[in-house]
Amino acid sequence: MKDSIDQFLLHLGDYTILLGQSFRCCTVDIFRRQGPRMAHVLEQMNEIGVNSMGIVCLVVFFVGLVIAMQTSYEMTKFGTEMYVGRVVGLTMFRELGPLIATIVLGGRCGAAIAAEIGTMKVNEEVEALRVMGISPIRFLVAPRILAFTIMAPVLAVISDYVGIIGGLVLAITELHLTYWQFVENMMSGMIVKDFVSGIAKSVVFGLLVGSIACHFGYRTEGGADAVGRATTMSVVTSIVMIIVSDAALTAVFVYIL
Amino acid sequence: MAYSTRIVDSVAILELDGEVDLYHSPRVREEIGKLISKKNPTILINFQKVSYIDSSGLATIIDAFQKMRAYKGRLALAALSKPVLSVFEVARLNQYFQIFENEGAALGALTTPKA
Amino acid sequence: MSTTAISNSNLPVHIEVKNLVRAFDGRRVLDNISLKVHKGETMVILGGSGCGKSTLLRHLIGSLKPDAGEIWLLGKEITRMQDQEFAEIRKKFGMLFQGGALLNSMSVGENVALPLEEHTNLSPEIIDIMVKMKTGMVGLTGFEHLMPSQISGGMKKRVALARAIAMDPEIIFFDEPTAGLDPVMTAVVDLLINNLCKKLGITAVVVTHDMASVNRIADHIAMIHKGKLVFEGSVPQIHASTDPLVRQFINGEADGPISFQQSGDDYLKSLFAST
Ligand SMILES: Nc1ncnc2c1ncn2[C@@H]1O[C@H](COP(=O)(O)OP(=O)(O)O)[C@@H](O)[C@H]1O
Ligand SMILES: [Mg+2]
Repeated sequence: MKDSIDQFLLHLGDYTILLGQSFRCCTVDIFRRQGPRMAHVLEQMNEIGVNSMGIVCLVVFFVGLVIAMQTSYEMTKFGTEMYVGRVVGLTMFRELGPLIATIVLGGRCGAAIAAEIGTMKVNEEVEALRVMGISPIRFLVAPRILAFTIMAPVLAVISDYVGIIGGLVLAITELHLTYWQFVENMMSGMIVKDFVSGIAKSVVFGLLVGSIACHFGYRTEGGADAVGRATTMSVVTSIVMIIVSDAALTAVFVYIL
Repeated sequence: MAYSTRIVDSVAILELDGEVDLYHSPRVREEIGKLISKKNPTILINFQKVSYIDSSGLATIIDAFQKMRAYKGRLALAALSKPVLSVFEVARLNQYFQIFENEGAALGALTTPKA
Repeated sequence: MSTTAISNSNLPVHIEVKNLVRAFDGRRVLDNISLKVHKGETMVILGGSGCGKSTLLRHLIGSLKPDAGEIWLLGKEITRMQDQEFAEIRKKFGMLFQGGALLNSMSVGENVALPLEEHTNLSPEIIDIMVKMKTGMVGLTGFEHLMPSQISGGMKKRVALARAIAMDPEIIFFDEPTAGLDPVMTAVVDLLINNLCKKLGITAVVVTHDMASVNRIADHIAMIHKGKLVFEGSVPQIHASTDPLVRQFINGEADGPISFQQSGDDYLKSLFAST
């Protein structure tokens, strides 16, 4: 028990330092022309955002469909199935759009980044960068965290709408609602906060997934087995941290703001 | 690093002073670039006061050589000190460039009309 | 190439290690090491696996800090130096890692260009020419566009060498540059080290356990055993040495003061310790 607490504190310390250095690199250092290279950030944004779009859309479309099915199953008993638009819209915007998008990102890109940086660590590539006087934070870590934080909300918005389309497809085919009935019902119950709170969450989730992946990759030590462990730890920790921070943020948005 | 340029008998002479290293090469390239943009038919670089040259310096001269070849200009080097010359030799570039003992010899060879 | 030692102490001292001590988990991996390398000299650090050679190099390049002792590079003490000050020294040395440590996501040419792009204001055209010069020097002209995964181990080491000389360093550190190479490629890499360092006047520190390489490249040899300096001298001197440790190493014998297993008592003790 004491060991795992020590381990946890060690991780937390390293993680905080990594996050601090990356933050510094993306803010103060930009003015000293020491910020991350634009090409690296764009490359990562492409990998994280553009190349993950397909899988995010696929997953979230079916999530939207399932939510519409599950809620309408109960609603038809009371004749309230016209409210399905509102239910799907609210759950997507407030909760599932950002959540599903970033969990998929964690599994796809977070794992890839942990494995990539971990392998570079094991092959002494990171050490070589440092000896050449190139900061691995600036060269590897900061562009990835930045790209994650920028692309997570973008994917969350897309995910919101694709999920709603999933619900809409069900509403039209099974509940015989029209497109306008669905959309009007959805919009009538929606306030700006519903949309914005979801986006705010996705920014936090993206930052978490990106930085956790970099952290586990960056502290890899040893051989191929260590890279495997880092990858697994990165995915598991990201998912846990997304859910935990989701609960905290939801509480803030529901009870405080 | 200091520079001076003058024209003697239609030969543009660029005199360098100091070390042609990673940090000074960009300035040297700028100076040569000015002469090249005027399409000077013959450019002579005087190394009299150059104590050190590294591979960025060599690359800068190769770059100039290539650009001058486009308009059939001639590039010549003069007064290379021993350590500087040996850097050219290690890269086997001494065979490629016209290298003269000193500025006088260079001007003599460059200004006599070709047979 | 150079079988006689340069005992020319008129040349400036480029590297000096004074009483270096470093322990891991209470075990002294470097025990009071002192060394001196003059400008342009090739110093070979010799010793069996695990004797602390890589650890010594890691201290020289500033990746590890010693428990005690001093390290002077190009006339400056580096172990107590601020990061910013060290960054300047860093640009003056190159390092060839054991596995090459090329960045796998970048082509051969991009790897060589990387330090130049990061540290200088040279234009892309000039960097391009320089990359061609450096890859040419290691005999890899025309391979610039290949990725590290597409080339052999020996070629990777040569690319890594090209990258290490990209900034025209004054010192290069080599960690086992020929380990895992066939005899021909070993000779090629040794020849490159000799050509580059001797012609360009670069100071080199080469870690190896290969005696054939030592004979080809060393001006000066330091042999380490269990973290201690056990021999220092030239190639003829090491061959003339009567020290049993040194003799065993250069002759490659299993029997001798360098034991390959724990002594009989320790072995039995460890077997029966828990019962
Ligand atoms: N970071 C470290 N932590 C603990 N022990 C280490 C560390 N680095 C090296 N060692 C130990 O120091 C000894 C020397 O290692 P090294 O310098 O890599 O040897 P070699 O001469 O083979 O290059 C080995 O026994 C190794 O286990
Ligand atoms: Mg080693």
